[in-house]
Amino acid sequence: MWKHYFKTAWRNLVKYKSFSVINLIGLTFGLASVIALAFMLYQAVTANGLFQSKERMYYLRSKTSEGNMYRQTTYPLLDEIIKSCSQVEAGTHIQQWYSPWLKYSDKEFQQNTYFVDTAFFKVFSYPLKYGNANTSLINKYSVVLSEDVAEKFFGKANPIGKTIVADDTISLTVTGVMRSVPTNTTMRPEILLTTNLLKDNHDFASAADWYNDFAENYLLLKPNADTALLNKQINALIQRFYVQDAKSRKVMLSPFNDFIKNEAGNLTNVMIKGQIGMIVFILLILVINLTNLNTATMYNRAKEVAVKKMIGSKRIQIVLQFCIENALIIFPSLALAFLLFYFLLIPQMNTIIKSSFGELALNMRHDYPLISWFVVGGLIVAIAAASYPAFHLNSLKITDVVKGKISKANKKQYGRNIFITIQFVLAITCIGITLVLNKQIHFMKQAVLGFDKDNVLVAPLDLSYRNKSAAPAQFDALLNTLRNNPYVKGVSTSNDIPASYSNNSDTYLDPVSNKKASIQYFSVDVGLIPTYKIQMLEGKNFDNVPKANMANKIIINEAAMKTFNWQSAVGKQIKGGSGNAVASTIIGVVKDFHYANLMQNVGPLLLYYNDKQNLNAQYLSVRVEPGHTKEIGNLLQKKFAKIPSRRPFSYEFLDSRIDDQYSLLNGILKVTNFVSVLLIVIASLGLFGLVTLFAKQRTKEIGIRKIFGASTKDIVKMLSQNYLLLIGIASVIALSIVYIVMSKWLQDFATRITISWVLLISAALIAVVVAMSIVIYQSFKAAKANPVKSLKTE
Amino acid sequence: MIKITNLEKIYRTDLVETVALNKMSFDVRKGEFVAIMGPSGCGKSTLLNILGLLDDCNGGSFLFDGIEVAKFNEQKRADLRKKNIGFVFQSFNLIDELTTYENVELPLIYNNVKAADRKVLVEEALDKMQIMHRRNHYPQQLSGGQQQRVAVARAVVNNPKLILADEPTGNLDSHNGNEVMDMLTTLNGQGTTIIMVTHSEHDAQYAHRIIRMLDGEKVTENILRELDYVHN
Repeated sequence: MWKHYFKTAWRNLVKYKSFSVINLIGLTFGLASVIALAFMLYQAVTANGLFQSKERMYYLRSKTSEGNMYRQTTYPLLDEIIKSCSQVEAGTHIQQWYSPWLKYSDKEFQQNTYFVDTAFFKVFSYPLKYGNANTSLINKYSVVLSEDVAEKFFGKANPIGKTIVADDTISLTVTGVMRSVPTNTTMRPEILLTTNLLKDNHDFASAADWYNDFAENYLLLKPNADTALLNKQINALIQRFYVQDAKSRKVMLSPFNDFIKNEAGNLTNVMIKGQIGMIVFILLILVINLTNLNTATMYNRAKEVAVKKMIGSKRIQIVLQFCIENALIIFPSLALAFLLFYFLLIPQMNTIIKSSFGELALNMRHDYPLISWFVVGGLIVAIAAASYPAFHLNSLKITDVVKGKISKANKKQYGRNIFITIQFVLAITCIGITLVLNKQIHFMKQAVLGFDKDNVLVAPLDLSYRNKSAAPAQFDALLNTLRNNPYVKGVSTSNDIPASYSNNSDTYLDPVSNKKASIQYFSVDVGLIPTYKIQMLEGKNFDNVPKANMANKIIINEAAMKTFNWQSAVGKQIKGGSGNAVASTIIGVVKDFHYANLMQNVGPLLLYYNDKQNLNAQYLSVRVEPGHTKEIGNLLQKKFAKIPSRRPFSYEFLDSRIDDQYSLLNGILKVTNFVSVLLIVIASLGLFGLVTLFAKQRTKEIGIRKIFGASTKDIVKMLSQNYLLLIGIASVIALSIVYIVMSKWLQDFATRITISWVLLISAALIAVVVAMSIVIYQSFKAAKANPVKSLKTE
Repeated sequence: MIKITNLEKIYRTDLVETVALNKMSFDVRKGEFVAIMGPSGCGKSTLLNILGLLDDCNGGSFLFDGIEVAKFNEQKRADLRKKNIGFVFQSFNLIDELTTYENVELPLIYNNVKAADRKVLVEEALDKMQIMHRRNHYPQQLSGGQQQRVAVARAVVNNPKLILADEPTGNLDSHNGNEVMDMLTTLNGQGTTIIMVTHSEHDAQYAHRIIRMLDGEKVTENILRELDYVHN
């Protein structure tokens, strides 16, 4: 019996070759995308699954009086919480301060380093390959390595007890090696050192007071802990210990399960929602295509079903046969889709979303449940798509079918029309979203930055120089060379540069009006304003003098001036920081420029003087006369090659750094572009199948009409006008959806486009042109057929 | 009205070349009723298709109302056809999805006749064929005889100069068959030229003239009765 099912199923697939191929192609690309999107979602949903007590893990978030949220608090807070709150089982800082160079024998590496507390492994149950989790971080000079790093230093050997030297000065003992963890783990530390060691660092120790928020804190609560009570206790500690200026902050526990949602940013959350949307869109279109094509071929098979029933086939056997036919298309497509996903889409998606979601990697050991879900999903699709035609044919009266009383084209087509409309609603919605997205990103890229991004070379200066005494002088010589080069129009050494800014803010006070405001601050030198061509509104720039000569002198931006309601700011004073800070005098005001993420508005900013130009700054920026960037780049390479360092010198162009800010947006754009094309292609393939089939079913009718005077144009019109109407209806629905959804989404952008009707109509036009050219082409082919031959069909 | 000279139609495949019409020549006068007879495969239907401008020929001349149409392209043939020729088929060839009324209306729509005029013409044709009472029925709901009446109504609604009938009684019983032949005769009597392909000696007797064919050639031609007058 099964052999019979497969045989007839196969013959039918071969008989309707073109539909089988349409289905196979559509399903393969569609399912590959569904698998890829579903896999990303799966990784996001199962993130951090390796931690045993994930439900009891929390981290601390601070909230300023202005409502800004961030995941750092003062450093000493955690120790007080652990001491005084009985509901906390364990807690640890995860502190990134610096990453020392580690040396073993002749091997020397710098890796991403976390400074953590003794209880780190109680909170984060990373499995250890070697060493004891309870004791490995007790000793101040302990170091725990990831499996990869351990292998880089020691090969496959057990390194416990081996000594590694940090920055040529501190001897550390290897006390543990962590096993490799799944790629969707939020934190994948490479080196763990102790916070006790960090406390020896002078800068750290002086910053670790009750004012500065820079410490990340993670807690494991006792089972059934009362978080509301704990939050109260924590805020009582704030009132008790925080300095006066910081007491207005709130600190709250946040479940570690919400870490990605909270910390990855609005765009990432939008992306997750978008993925769910896209999966639903693609699946719906695929199932509709299958059902439509099944239904369209259904009446050609009425006789086959009737005869089978006449000679004893049961209803269920008919249904089964249809399911097997669908499965014969779906499962090979699924297999092809999987190959496409594994070899093409995973690497593609990693280039797009790695930074936000963690690297995508399929591991059969961990991820087999997902694969079995795909198989189950395939079965569901097969049954869903086969059931309507199978049940419908089963319900027909055998005698009517055999006598040919069932007219295949006379049936109401409401269902099919609704399906086609839904498909095009989905496709046009996706195209519309993509167009809006494209325009918004293009618009943001064209937005006025407030500085000139062209012809500026940017190089990181933190290269870990081997000869710490000779390097600064060599660099000073290089600076002089640059200043004297006729092609160099500006040089800056600063700790912050536009487009690479990490938020640093403080509360500042106007001592005259007593108005307080939270203001971001930015460390600059004499060269930053001219090199980036930031415009001065009033006052003057800093001078290139030692830091002490510029003490308590600052420059602010226009937004800061507005914050304090000043018409003019030069000569005015503001006070900031903790305790009794000395007032700073404003010497200049710059026009607003985009110093941070381009998605945000330009907020109030304070520029303070870092120092005379020197090697201690984070960045070297050089403005070059157009056409000479390569030449100056080579000069920098040559000069830095003579200053020995552990890290190699490299530079890049400011404009490409700014473009990088859009990498996630560009990634989203790539995905939506791809999905849009996919949806319209799949929907059009389905339409192609339907039109071909209907034209074939109506061959005789077309012949008759032609004999009685219908022109090719009349026939094309007859065959295609219904589709035009359906796509028209779909356009109206889809464009309304796009308008509502995207208007809301655009609210998140500081600089944004307005959605024009031209944009919306072009989305519909794309769909209409693609779909109707297919419909018209197929109709035209049918219309050109010789009517004499057409009459001989059936 | 029709004059064909040395008309040729050859079907070619990779392996064989079949001569369907071999230098066929005859003419049909305006108002004449001509029956074409012959065994299956002798080329009757091929001839009818060419006369109906549904198919082209490989050689020879075909004058329709004095115009050489043998070399007409498809568009020109279609234009000439829809204005001048009506068709009646053995298997009726009605469109299942259209009602009686709509089937008859079809040629008028394609001839761009105004809706109001269409209504008059369709009702007139349905009346003439005594099928008015079935105007809203679909073909499946009609008997064979009724379907053929609808088909004849459709063929004449446009008032064509020529009706081509391909075994119009082949699917009908003798009673219905006779009715259809009477209708055709009446139409002929009103001036419409008719060329009919048939296997039935009985039906052929309604014609003025019988042309007999064999292997793509005209073998005999019998005049049964003289044309009463020549229509202008």
